[in-house]
Amino acid sequence: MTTLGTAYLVMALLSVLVGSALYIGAARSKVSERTASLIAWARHGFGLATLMTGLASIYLAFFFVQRHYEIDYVYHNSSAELPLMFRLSAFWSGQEGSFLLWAIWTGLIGLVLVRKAGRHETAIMPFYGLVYAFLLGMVVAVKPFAATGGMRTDGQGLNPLLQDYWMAIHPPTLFLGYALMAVPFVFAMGALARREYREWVRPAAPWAIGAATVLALALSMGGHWAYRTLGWGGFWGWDPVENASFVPLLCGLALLHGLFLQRGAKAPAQRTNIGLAITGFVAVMYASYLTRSGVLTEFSNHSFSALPHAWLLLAGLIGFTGLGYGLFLWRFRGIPNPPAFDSFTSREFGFGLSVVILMIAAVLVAVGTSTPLITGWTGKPSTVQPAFYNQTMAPLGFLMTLMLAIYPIAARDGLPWSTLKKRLWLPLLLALAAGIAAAVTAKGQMAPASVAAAVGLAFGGTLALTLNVAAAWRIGRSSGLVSVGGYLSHVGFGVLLVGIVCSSLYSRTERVRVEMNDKARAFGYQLRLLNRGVEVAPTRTQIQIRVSPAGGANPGLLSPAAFTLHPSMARDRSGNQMTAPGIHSTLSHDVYMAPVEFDPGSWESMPITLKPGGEAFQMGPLRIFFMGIEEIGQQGAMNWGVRAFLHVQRGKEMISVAPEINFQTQRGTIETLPGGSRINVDPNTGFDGSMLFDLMGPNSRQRDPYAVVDVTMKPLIWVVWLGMILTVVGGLLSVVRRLRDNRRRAAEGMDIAAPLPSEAATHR
Amino acid sequence: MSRAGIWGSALILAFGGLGYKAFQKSVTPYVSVPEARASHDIVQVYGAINQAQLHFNRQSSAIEFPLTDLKHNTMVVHYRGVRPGNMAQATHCVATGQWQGDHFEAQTLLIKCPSKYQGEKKA
Repeated sequence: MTTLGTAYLVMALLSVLVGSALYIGAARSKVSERTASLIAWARHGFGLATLMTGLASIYLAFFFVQRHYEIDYVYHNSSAELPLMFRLSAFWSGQEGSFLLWAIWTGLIGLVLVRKAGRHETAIMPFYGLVYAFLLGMVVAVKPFAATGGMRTDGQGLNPLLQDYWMAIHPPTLFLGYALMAVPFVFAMGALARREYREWVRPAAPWAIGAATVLALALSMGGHWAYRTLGWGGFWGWDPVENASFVPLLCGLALLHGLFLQRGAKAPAQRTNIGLAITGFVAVMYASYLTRSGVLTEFSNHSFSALPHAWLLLAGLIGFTGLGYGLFLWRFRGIPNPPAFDSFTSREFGFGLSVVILMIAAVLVAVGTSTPLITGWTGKPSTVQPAFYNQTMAPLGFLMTLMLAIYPIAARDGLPWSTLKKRLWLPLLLALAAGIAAAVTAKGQMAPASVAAAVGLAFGGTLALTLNVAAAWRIGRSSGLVSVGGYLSHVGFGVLLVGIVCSSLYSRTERVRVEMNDKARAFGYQLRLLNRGVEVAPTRTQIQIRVSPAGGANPGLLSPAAFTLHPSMARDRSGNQMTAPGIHSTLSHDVYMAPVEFDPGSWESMPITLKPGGEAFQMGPLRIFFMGIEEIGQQGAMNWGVRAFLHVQRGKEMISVAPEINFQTQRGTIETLPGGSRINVDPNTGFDGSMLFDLMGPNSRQRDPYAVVDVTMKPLIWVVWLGMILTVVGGLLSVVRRLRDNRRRAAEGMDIAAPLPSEAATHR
Repeated sequence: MSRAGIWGSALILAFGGLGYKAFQKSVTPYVSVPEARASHDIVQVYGAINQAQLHFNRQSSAIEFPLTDLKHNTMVVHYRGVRPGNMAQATHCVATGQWQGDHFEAQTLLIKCPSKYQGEKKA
């Protein structure tokens, strides 16, 4: 059964290699009939490869859905009690499935690419085949269909953090973005191979915009998931795993601005764009290496653990880097390099500056993320704190907002300052008002650097936002909705910055201990614990906390005065505790409650440490002998725990008890002893020698439950989500527009390298 | 050099300088216990957790435990964030924080456990 899955993958790999070889033959063939025949067979090869990859994916999904725990990958990432959606999404929760997901996206995109590439097909598809073959090779190497070597009735379960709607759809989106980033790369490689440096720009543009948009969507989903699930109150933590995907996004954004620049009549930035397309794909490969090889395991809370075939990933990274930059440098001197711009108020200058700023950001984030590797070479591995990113990205963000503000109103050949001033005065006034408001509210509340960041980003964000809204309105009315994509994305970026300033710099947190009375206070609210915790999933305990105004509370716009929050705590298979917040959203702010500590009301007890086979523990008339333990389940399994065997003597009476503890749920059994005392295994015990027990006397009482929670007021967090949505919608509209333009040009038989007559007009 | 090259180079130099300065200020090396004690900056200490003396202070919501580095120097760590649930099984951890008076105040704890998600799997 498992052999069939592997056979599908090997057939896919062979098919794509044959297909690529046929494409190379077609590219070199001088006889047109032979070329057509080779292309037709090469397409069949790619089609077969995608079909085989699809069958392998369906086969693996079938094993997950039908609970086939004899498959090693299914066993380690799923369990019987999971609902269908999470049994399916467990497919891409580990290394094996996520590589397969990346491969199937690459296959499907390849099918579209061969139909859209036109005369570029034979130049780009051999390179695309190489990318596809590498991914299939990785999948074959990591063996998603390997058997466990025995029948198993249940699996080890899916990480509780991944049992979330957003985490079910985030990875497919991210890997779609990764797969799309290969397309501009292969167009650039094809351009280098053919020495045609202008013709690839228009057909590659929709793919580059699509890749950046999908990556932005994936990161937005990840951010939203982090905010709603992780409980640390933010949506972006500058963690290596987040950064690893952020760098390709920045490269993709730089590339699409570079491609816009090259569409001008003089076609500048030809070298730059080839370099950017290669760098974007190398960044994707580097991101995969950083997060999957295990090199950052010591430095990130999120990265996958070490991949057994990390060397193959490293070989791929080195291979594609060498191939891409090698060919680029070989051809470098032959690539035309016309001057980029004539005027500082021209759109060309804006595009060029955007490329530089985005690439500076990409390099800084890449350096920060790679710090453990770089410093490791000097013998003292180090990491950078989030302050590094905040201090460098804030001024870059400010500069970017100024660019976004000025260049929507600039024209291809520059606008006179008098016209610029006419269009600038009202947005400038609004931006000044936002900056002053930020200064007044921030002063005294935060560090001077944060005040400067708040003022700068509020000013720049508002300026960019208003000017791009005006430009989108003007262009939308004259040229239709699909023409406003770029402006809408820029509006989204402005909105996002304003949201980040408000929700991050102005958020305030208080830590409070909440009990079943009304004494706890935070931000003018009174907080009351309503329950002793409810087990809502096998390892998840949910608590209920009633929040009501107690004078001084800001209930928020359009919000009920009192509400109940349901934060929860869960454990993953390694026993790590994870917290999920309770969130109450209003139009003006979110009340965000993250649990820190929860005690459901333990019994008054005495902790005792017992040695197996050692001396008896004596308490009054009771003598307790610790005979030994039995491990339950396997380490990492949902039922993993221990059973302790005790002999208890009271006078002449001797009984045997066997209290158990489950290390995943931290719950165990309580055994009653002669005389009414009770004993349980302490959840914090080790078990490789002495063990810790809790002994309760016959009159011990149950303590009141309590929870320690962090309550955070987060102003205008919804503005962040709105900014993300607008950015992505704008990107999608841009893709549609570029596709339409290309179709129209093809239909009209126009020179693919010349600018559309309408373009100069629509941007004025 | 073209005008675009001059502008680009100026920006790259400016942000390269800013990045270098920010890097120097925020880079957090792995240090030993005596180095952490002597440092006024945020540092990271990798070491073994003394499970026998680990306790949770319910009043301050802080975990307190002795941490012994690879050169067998020991310091007391206080950590007030969300309690890592696998503290009981943890053998080692990376504490990131700053020396404060008589103890190391950790801002983050990265727990190293014997079991890892896929680390145990055979190739």
